[in-house]
Amino acid sequence: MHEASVDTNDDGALRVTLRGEIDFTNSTEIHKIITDAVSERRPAAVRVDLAGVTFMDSTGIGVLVDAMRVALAAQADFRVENPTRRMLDQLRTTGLLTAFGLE
Amino acid sequence: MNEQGHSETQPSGPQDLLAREFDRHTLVRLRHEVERACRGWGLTGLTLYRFVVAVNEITTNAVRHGGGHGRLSLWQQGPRLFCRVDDQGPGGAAEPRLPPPDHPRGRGLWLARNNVERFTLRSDAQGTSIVMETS
Repeated sequence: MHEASVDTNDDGALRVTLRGEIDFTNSTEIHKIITDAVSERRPAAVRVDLAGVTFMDSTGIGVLVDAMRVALAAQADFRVENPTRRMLDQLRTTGLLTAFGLE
Repeated sequence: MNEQGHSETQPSGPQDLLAREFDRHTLVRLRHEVERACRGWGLTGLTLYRFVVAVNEITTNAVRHGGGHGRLSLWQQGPRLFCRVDDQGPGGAAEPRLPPPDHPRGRGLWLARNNVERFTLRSDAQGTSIVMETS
């Protein structure tokens, strides 16, 4: 699954790196990769890196919200990082900047 | 797909840029075609991205809730681009509300409406027709 990869930072945070186009056709797989990683590794924090995302639809945004929910349910801090200008615009339009730690 | 969209010699009538039937298997290809056509016409940057996001939300809705397939038309008229999507579904809320930040779904129609200059939805027993317009 080249659109999503998961690593653990030196500080123990789970780092989710998303790339390319995230949409209805691949969001279910990406959702599973993230939720599985959170429940298996029980990290203290979850960081989702959007630097390489070129397109995201509302189901992709739903994956980010779900990632936040599983992280918070596991008492992990959650933040979205490195959004492009496009992604920042989209997350502003959908009212998610504060929830994702972007303002 | 041509450079005439912004030239001063353009005809005043509508000019078709793209017309496609689509389903689940052609959603992504269609999105790429729409993006190429809009870029070729002259849309750039955030305006281009917002329009492609809006069109994609509506075609995805057609596949998920509108009978599994639909028809898209993209055309220019004067200084504006128009995109119409027809499907066999019941249509969405006339005025969608933004869900709270911890709710994973329900942002598609909101995003589409807020990403275009004008958004018109018509529903009847046969299905739903949405026209989106950008400046």
